[in-house]
Amino acid sequence: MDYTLDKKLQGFKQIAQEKLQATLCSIPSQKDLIIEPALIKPLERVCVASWIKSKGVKKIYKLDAKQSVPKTENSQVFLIGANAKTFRIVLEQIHGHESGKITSTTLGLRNYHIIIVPFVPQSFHTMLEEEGLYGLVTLHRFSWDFIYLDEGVMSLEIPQVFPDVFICKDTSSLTAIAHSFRLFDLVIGKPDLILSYGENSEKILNMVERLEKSNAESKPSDFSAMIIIDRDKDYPSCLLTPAIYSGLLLEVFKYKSGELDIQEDSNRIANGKIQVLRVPPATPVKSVPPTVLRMNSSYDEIYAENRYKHFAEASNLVRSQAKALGVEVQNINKMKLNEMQDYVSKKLPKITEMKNKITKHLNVCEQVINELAGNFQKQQSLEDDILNNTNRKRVLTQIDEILTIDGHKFNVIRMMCLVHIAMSLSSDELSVFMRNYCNAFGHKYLYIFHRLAKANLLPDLDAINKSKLRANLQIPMFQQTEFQINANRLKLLAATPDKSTPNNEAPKACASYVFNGLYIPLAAQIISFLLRAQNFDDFCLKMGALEGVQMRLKDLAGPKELKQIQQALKRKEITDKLPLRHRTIFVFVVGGISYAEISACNLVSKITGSKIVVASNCIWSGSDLIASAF
Amino acid sequence: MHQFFTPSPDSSNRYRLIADDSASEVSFEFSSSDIPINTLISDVDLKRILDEQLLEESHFRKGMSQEEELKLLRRKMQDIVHAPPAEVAINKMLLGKRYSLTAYKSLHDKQQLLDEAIASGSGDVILGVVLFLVKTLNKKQLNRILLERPDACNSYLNYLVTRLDIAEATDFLTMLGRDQEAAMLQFKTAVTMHSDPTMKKNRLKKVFSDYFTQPGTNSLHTQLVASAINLLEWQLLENSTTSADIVNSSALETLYYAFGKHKWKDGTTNDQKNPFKFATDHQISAPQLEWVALNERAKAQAYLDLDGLFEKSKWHSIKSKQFHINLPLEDVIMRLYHLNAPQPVLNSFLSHVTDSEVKLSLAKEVKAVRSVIDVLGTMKDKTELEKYRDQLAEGTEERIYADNAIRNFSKRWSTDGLKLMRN
Repeated sequence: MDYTLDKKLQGFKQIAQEKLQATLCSIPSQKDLIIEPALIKPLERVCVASWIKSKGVKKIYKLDAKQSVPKTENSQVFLIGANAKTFRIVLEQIHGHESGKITSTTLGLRNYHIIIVPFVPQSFHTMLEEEGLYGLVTLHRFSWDFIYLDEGVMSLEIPQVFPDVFICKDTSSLTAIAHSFRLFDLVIGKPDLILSYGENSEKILNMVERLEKSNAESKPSDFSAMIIIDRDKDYPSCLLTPAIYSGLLLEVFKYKSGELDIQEDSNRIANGKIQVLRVPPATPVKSVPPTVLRMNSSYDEIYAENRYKHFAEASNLVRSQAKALGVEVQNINKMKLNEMQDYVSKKLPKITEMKNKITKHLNVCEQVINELAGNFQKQQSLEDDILNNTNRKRVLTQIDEILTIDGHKFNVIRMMCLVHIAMSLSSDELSVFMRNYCNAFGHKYLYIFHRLAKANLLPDLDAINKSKLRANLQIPMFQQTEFQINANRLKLLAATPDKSTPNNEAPKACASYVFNGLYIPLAAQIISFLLRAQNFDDFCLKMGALEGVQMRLKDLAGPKELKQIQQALKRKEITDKLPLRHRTIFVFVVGGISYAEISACNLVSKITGSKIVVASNCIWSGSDLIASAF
Repeated sequence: MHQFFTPSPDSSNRYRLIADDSASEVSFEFSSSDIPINTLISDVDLKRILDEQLLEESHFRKGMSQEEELKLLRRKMQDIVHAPPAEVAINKMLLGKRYSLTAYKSLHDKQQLLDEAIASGSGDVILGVVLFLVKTLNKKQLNRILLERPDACNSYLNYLVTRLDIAEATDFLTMLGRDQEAAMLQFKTAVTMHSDPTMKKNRLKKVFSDYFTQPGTNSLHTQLVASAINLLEWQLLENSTTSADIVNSSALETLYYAFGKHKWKDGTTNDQKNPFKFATDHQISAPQLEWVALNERAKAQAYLDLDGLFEKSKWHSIKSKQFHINLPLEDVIMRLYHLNAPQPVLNSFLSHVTDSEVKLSLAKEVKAVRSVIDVLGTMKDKTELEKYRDQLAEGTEERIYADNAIRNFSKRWSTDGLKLMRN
């Protein structure tokens, strides 16, 4: 029987269960499981506690750095991320249990196991040996691979990829991604056409090829094309303020593995500002227990309907749904007795559930409006100026005002990064900002600027100093930055929205609606080119000689540049894969994807009547990206 | 909502996380959607995936003949004596297997191994090889090999930093000529590692003199690190004399505190605690200074002090004062309104807004009645003014003010009219 693609994609969970089961069952005795808190949410997407317990786990604990779980006769199994700091904590706790007790007789029992997600770094073996715990502790690895978070949205839940790979230039975590891709090929089949843009994407694909050397024929793929892009090839899609519902939810609330943490009295916007310079709340906030909002359309029909809508439209819809529900509840009074019985037993539970959901959505809408609506127009026109590299002086003055009056620890740097990408900051401009920022948020953050410079999000002050002569030359005003050249080539900068039309609303049929008509995410644009191309030359023309794009075709060995493929086509060595026979595309962004990108891809899939599945190592917002450098 | 890891209410066993999930939810997410696993992945592939998950390679299969075993052992022996091609080792490591590299003894072998690791693109494999080189080469040889390979340097550096071997990492960076990075690493370690403020201050001072005073250091970095030390010293001093808890707060937060302590009547104080001097010392920008002062004074409801802040004496006469502000007036007025500033204060700030339209909408927004009346007066919009007056409750001071404005209005009009007639 043939199962639908979505069922197959959800099937990664079953494979993850098999993998975890194999590890847990390889540990013979009764065991206690101690989980790093950050891993709990993603693990909930893979299995439930009763399932874990059925694999010989007695008790489940949260890992606490300050307090170790008492050791019983059960083996202790730790489940932690591939982070040296956490690993050290676990080793210390094991030392605490075992100090002075290690004898040749206990050594054989191997009472401790550490399962590391998603891979065991080489350095851990060395650390284990150096700590004198080799032999007492067994290391295991476990990767849950692709977690199906929502319809058409998957995540590997490895958030450290961006800081590790793009900031520290340590490509260790790419290995884990490559392993997951390899499993993807086994389950879904390797697509005939694979396009990569960025050196890290290319590294992953290379590793996959090495890993697959021993493989037999791969099966025909459910996807006709795969696109894999490095985050740094399209920073604006993450840095710009999204205009869509799901995107704005992530701006205000903490998001983890498909769930939003909703708290009445605090949110990410308020927490990132200097407390003494805030207006104290007029009335003490009523304490409402924190809840979660599951961003999964099969759980929440209201979310399903609104997730990719423009926020204004979504919030209106939520309001009107709330009103409609009120009407339905009022109808009870007019009911007859037998109708009432039927209503209470069948409809009421559903309505109560619906009511809870609506209340939740109303609440989040209200908080989003409270925190962001005031400055939204201003922010929009500021971002418009930045992207088009106009009004430089005004842009910098406005950012300085925002920093002074209402600065957000992450978002104000995020704006500055956007300025650098689109307008290229000078060392003087950055210096002024750095001084004001350090005074506002603390001098300890001085190193952040250095880290962001390594990811090309800000200019490198040292490099600028060294080439000061060049910087002093007057740059003509009309000069385009590299960003504008590429963005114009690919037509990412949608025509500036007509200011005279009400609400500045962009026409619905353009993927730029996710940024109120300012910008089309690169991934969405490439997909749309690929789906609309009549032949390969047509596609190349649209891609406009973008440098660094590599393509792998099934009947052509190794990665090739687009030009090389064009030549091979001319020589009739290969057949043209375009137009795509099956309109199914898999997109992966290395270094975190934003909901704006996901929404834009969704729109492209609707317009072109295709199936697009979007995946990344994590889903996050621009402020998460900046926060990862801290 | 399905959520199974909830802390146990049982306080005697507070580590424990209760587990049992309700059956309905389990079946909803975890079995109804499942499809037979063999339709997802073939048994052979699944077994391979599970085998690969193991860190140690299992060499001996069940039911192996003695001959096969002997063959395998021979090959293993061979591998120990003669290193297999680098690619073999690297691909094994890429699979995540533990792999002994001891057979790679010659310098040539080692270099090849490292180059193959770099070609694989996996930082983890690179690190595995580098750690082997660290063990088996002397520093001079090691550095020579690493220097030519930036990817290997990055992997090694990150390893040193995660191992908290900051001294070694700093030396390594200096050797690579990445002095600024070395300085930054030392600075970051100093500010994040020490929780005790005095120790942090001493550490910062040492880092400052060791890394931030050399020629070629970025002058902004030097200034900011010096400023960080000054700030900490200022806070520690304040902490020792009062019970203030401001250590480790930012310069603006400290300035806010200083404004609260400042004797506003006495304009001549010039000691260290003077907030204006503090702001100069830390190069706090004029808008930042004004915004902090505005917020602090408004929250303390000391609105009179605001005059002194924004009205500077003209250079030619002490008596006439000039209003000067570095902040957008709109934000200032809105903030004062949100902090419940009284109407006269709002009116006085509104009087400095030059654009009448902006002034009118602002005044309406912050409900500054007199300002609304004044603007409408200057805009000569009698009908609007009358409309506005009618909204005001009768007998209130504001109503009378509005009535007066309208009366003046007609007067002015009539005198103008008289003038016209005369001409």
